[in-house]
Amino acid sequence: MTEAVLLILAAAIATSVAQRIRLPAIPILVVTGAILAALPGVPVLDVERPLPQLSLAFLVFAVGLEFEPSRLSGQLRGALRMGLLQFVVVGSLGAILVILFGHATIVAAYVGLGLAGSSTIIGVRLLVERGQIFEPFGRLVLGVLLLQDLLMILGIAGLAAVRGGPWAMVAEVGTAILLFAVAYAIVRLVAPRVARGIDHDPEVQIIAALAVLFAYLSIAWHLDLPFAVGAFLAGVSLSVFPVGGMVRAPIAPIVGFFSAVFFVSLGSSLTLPVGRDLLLALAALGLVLVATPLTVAVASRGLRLPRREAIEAGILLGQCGELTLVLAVLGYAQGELAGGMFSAISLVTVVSMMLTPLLATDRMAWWLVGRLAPPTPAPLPPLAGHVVLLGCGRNSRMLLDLLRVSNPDVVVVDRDPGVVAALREDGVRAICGEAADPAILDAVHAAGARAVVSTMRRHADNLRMLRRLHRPGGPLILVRVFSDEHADALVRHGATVVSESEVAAAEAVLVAGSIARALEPAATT
Amino acid sequence: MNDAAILLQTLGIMVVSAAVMMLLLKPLKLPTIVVCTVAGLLVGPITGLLDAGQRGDADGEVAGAVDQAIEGISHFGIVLLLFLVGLELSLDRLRDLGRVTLLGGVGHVIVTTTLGFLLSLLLGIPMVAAILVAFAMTLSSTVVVIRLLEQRRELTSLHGRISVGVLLIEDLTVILALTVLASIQPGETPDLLAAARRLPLALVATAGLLGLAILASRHLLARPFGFAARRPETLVAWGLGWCLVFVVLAKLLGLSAEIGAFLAGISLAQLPSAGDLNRRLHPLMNFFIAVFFVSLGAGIDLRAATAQLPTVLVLAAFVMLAKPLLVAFLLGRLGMGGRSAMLAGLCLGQVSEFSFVFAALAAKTGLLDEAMVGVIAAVGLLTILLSAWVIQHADPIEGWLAARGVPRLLRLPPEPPAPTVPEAHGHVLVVGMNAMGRRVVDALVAAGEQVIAIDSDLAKLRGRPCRVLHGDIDDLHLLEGAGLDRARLVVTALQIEPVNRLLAFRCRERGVPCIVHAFDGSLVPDLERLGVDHLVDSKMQGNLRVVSILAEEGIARP
Repeated sequence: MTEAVLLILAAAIATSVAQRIRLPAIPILVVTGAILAALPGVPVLDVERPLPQLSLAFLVFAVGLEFEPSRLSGQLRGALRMGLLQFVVVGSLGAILVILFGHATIVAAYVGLGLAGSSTIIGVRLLVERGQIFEPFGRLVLGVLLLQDLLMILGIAGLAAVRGGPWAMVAEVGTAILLFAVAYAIVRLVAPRVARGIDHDPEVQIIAALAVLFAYLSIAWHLDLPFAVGAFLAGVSLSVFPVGGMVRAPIAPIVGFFSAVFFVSLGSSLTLPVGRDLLLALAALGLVLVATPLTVAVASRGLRLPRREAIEAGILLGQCGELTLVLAVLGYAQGELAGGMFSAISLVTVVSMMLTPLLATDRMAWWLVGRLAPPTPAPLPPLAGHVVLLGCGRNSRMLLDLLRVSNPDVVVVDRDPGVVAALREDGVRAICGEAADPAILDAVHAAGARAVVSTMRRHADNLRMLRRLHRPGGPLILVRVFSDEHADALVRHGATVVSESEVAAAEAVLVAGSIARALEPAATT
Repeated sequence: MNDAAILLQTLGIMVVSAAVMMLLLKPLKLPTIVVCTVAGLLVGPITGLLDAGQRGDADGEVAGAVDQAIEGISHFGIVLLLFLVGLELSLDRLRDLGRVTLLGGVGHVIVTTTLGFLLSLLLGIPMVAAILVAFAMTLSSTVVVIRLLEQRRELTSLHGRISVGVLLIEDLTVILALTVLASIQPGETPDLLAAARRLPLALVATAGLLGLAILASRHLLARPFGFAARRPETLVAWGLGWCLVFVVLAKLLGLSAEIGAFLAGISLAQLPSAGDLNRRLHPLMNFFIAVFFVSLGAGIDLRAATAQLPTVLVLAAFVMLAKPLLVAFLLGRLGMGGRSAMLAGLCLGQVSEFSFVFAALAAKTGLLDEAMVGVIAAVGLLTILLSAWVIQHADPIEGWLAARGVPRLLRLPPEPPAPTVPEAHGHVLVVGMNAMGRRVVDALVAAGEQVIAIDSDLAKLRGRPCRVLHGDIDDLHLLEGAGLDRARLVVTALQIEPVNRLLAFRCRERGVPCIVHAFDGSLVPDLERLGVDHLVDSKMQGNLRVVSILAEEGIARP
């Protein structure tokens, strides 16, 4: 009971601190565990004990639950290219680094694999907070994260059989892939039917989902696979819509509880790395923070990703993930990693996770764009009285068509080179670049336009554009925006706001009225 | 095999067996806890699967550690259960229970325990054990009754409210009883007089802890929990942390962990985030409590129970026949109408899960022997199983009893016209109080619609001119609470794609029209494939507005 009380109180403190300082909870939970263990008279909540190991299974299960294959749709090629390149390059560099420090190959394999993957929890959280999860760039990053989770799990399976030699490793990975394929095939056929049957009872949903978890753990055990592999595959097999949606909500509190137990226990089991272990940790941290963004930047070239998005993707992927911690615990429990190395990997993970939200800011992205940006495209010939459309993604193409019907003198700015090329083929004057960039605004003579229409999603970009263009006698600046708070700020900066929420609400009420009218005769008969 | 592997295997057997039994017994519509207990019986005394699962280590040393972990999980489940009962029992609701519930509840506990005691003596049970058995038979199951009344949508009916009130009075008495039991040291010679001497101290400690709970509730908790409610994981961690603070305090004062958890729940019950916390902790409790009931079933000594079969059957008959009639009689004496009194009585015709805890604690102190614990467990299992059927068919059973003059025999007064508790029907659910959701709510309320606004952020719900619900819409409990099945229309303004998709799917399954906010053009094909008929494309609407403004300004042709 004392341990449970300590764990939960530590989790309560850690989540509050994380909320207050706006950092992810995972690293704060680990740090809280470490502080707790350092207090006199407090027992060490050993991560190898049954409860933290059960918690580990729940954590990996939750990671698997996020693996909804439809999330990769449209971005599979890009995610494969970017994800594999980052995984191989950063992993290999990590392994070489460890060997240079004089450690055995098996240790290098563990550390390399640990450094190769990024954190899905941190990445998804940041993408959601920044409203980018549905942008093509957001889907690409999510695809990379999910793919890396799968690679990490296969790596964990392989490393578990390392003592049996290369063929044993291949056999282990092959078994895991086979199990994955069988599970996926069964679930595609069975899950939707089962889902309908259990969607009226949350208790049954919970117990059924947990039964799937434990069944997979048992299968993994019988196939000599690490139980983390079974837990991940259990999550994957329940991730498909609508089962995934039904299961995630009731399972979330259970996973949250056990994750807190796991991370606090892990922190409690750590010792501060010293000497060569500390040096190795610092070098590995530098590698993750520098090599990941660079590799992603290289991979993004072939994907024709705008530079700013390539930089942001690199920063968002520049940390070790929760599966790194799982891998470290498994390596430590199997005796492959010494205590110092276990602590060093955990330290790199915790620090890189804490740094990501601090680095992934608009200011940092613009600063890097300023240093790495290609020359601004040549300005268009002098123009006046035209309409400038800032941003012409999927949602704005219809707007462009409407504008061209009524006013053919439209100039478009978009950051996607593919979009710009297609527009040019279509006879539209278009320029590729960041629409909020003052140099680009000058290049399209926005100050002399009759109207500037912004469809940019980011509030900061719109404010930056308004600061450049708003002046008495200047163009009419129309900004499409959803949030009332943002609308107020934009109006204060001189924009004429088109409130999406207002027009959408009006449409919804209109539809509601028509549904009500349609139902009325049915009700009276 | 190491201890972690054995723990996973043992839990696996428990959870998988519970899930299989749930699917197999689904047509019988039994409460989950009954199914879990049956699953426990199956993997425990019947097949011995659980024992085999734990025999992975030769010396049994590891299995001991695993047993301890399972016991810890089970105990935590009970603590959580009491915490959640407390969370539902706000001080306002305690006051509102009224005279009928209070007098009926206390009267029922005294009379039923007395009659049960006499019956136990007649059955040859020793005096001290007879008192404990009688008290265990008196308690009815809060979880079973509330769950079944929820399913039948009768929680707000007169008999539903009275049943819940009586159950809560029983919960308070069981807490006192557990406190008394906890004050008796294991191995001590059972001495009821000594226990009675300790009772005032326990009562003072309980009162002190209750006072602390009330003080904290009024002056301390609103602000920090307001902060915590902004993030679900913080709210859950704080809720559990607060629960455990009270558990530790209760332990320090010599009380049981259960009473600490219950009082912690009461102290949080009046907070605006209590409902959300309750919903978020329910899944956790469900898992822990499932483990508890499976291990309970696994631990039942069937041989002992069958050896005392006559005792089990007589006690079960007492619980299922005499107790409901006694409750109905008492409620009738307090002026409650015949039909409602009978229905409330029928609801309470089973033994509580707390009776198991009570019996287990009594066995630890030496007041009860293992055979008698087996009898109580067998009676509990039998009555819970049968009463689930009785509650589901309460109306025809009551009609059958009325036709045979039972209410007249019990001198129950005629049923007065029941004051109806309004339940949302034909209403509109608006999900997501962002700028769009707020506008939709205002417009629909102005148009005279009955609207329920839902959001996971309390701050966004403040000041809305309609009924509000706080929580995540992908939580099925919340949807049930919002009356999705009876809604006329659902409008989701959310900008969370998976949640919108799931809501649209659930609306389609229930035949409720749903307007979905397609906040990005890329979502439209997916939603159309899902069969969503009414999409609001906010981007497209915005585009049309842009063109119309440009036309007004003479920049574009209309």
